[in-house]
Amino acid sequence: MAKLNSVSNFKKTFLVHAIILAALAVLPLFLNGYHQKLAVEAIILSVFAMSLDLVMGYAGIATFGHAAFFGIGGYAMGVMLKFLFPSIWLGLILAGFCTAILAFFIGFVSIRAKGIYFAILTLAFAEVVYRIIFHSYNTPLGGSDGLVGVPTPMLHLGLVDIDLRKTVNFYWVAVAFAYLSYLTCKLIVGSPFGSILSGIRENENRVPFLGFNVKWSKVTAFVLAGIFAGFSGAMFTAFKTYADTEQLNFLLSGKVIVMALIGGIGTLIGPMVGAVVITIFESIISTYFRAHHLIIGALFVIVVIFMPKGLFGLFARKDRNNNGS
Amino acid sequence: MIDYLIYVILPQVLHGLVWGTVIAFIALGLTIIFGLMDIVNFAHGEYYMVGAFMGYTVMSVIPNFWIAVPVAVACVAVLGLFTEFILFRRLYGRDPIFHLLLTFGLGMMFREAAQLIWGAETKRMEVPVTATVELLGTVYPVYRLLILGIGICVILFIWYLLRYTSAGAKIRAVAQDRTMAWALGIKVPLIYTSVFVGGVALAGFAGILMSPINFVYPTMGVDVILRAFIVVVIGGLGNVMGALFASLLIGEVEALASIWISPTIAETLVFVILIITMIVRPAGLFGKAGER
Repeated sequence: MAKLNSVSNFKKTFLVHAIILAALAVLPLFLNGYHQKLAVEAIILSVFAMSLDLVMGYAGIATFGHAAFFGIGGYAMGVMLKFLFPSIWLGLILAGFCTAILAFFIGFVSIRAKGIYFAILTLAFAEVVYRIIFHSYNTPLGGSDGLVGVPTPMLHLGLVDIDLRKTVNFYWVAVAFAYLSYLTCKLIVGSPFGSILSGIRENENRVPFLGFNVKWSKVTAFVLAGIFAGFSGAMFTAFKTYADTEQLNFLLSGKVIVMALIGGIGTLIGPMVGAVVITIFESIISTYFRAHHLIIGALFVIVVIFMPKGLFGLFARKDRNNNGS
Repeated sequence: MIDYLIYVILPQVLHGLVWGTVIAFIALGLTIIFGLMDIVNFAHGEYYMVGAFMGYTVMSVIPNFWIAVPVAVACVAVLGLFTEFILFRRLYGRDPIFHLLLTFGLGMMFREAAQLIWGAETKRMEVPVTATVELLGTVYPVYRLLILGIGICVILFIWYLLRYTSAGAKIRAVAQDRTMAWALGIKVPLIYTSVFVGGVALAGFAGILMSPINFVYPTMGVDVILRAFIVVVIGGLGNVMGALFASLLIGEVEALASIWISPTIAETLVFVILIITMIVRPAGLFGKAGER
């Protein structure tokens, strides 16, 4: 059915994408320095939330330790820029490599456990990573002080060099990064592999009868999600010029789930919007209230109770009635 | 050699037992609540924290520990009643991941509220019983032994309650099949509420008992909840005996390991035990294979 009107759909999608990208591209011209910084953070975090959607929204497995990949990606970028070679590209590669290995290990071990056990196990793994880095005094990682003073290099893009120290430039790079990540993930979930993942979410027991390996599909999804989380963490560190243990904390793991839930999981774009909404909301709240976690916590509670399908879920409910669990 | 056993190992074994008992208090509530209503209560540690802070507050008005204990427990119970009534009730029957998230947000609120009310700095409470006792030549504080004694009594009481009273029979019936239990005239919501309140009150009790030994601070619940989770998962979610056994195991491992390695690494060791357990037995040491 999708094939029949794919041409007009493609045109429509192309138009929508072009408009959104154009809007995003001109946005920083209307923002002051502080808000530009906030926008960069929000966009980078949106990739983090989207990566979670690959495992949670599509494969339907809830992980509670996603911050481990974000943090490790950040540390990988920090180590690359500070100690090895000042190149964003190499930093991203190292981040992807490290998080892929870590995600493979965690996924491979944890996948034996189901449901809430899996969630708690990933939480435990993330906590081990957090603790190891937290207590890594006397190493270049800097323990609980974090890896500070990461230089921001030029971004070599073929013939042009982009100075990332200017927030606006970083903003545009972040938008491009987020858009490319989105397209890649869209490709993944639209591929046959993505269909297997959705199959696992809907009915895990039937998938093996179609000849697909549930375990390896899950691990692959977990690794892919980990890699994208690592990329976003790496970009975060490059932007912030530090990597610290806050990026590994289980609080962030919980926060990213809520970001994804608010936007609506299983939509890719939903979690991205959710991340932007939460980041902006948190920044506004924290300027007016000292105890902003009180309000964020309350927001989480409200989201979980009243809108488990998120903002996009509210709209999507009409035509996907029988899909809810 | 024998000196080493008495002066180094023995105190740590006792420390481990005390610590294990306190973890068991929290883990028992957690696992019974899960077994009964499928709620993974991430905010359980915050009730422990509130218990300690309420005790601290009462102590600053009436400096008597034995008055502070029941008052603090009662306050936590009331708080538990409120939260169950207003929030948890709405999520019964949903996927446990939603409970995890709900309680995650709730825990965040509690921590921040505690910080607003009592401040972020750590507080210290007077030890109510300062006497010490000589065991095989090593001197050990009576208060810790008291916690151990109270802990054993409470655990026996819970066991008796669940096993031999009609209320316990009802709780087990609801845990096994809530629809059937309801059809037989058991008031399921009432059982849910009372078990939840009992579970968090137990955590609050542990909080005030522990506050003269540990410090009192807003994030104290987080440190203990992660351990309690591990214990509950190692023992098999919803499995009371498993949780008890795993509490003592974790308490001892942590206490004994910190003789030779730094306490922070000993903490990490706990997570490693969990991971190994999950690899060997994905449903916990005492969980049935294929469960969940």
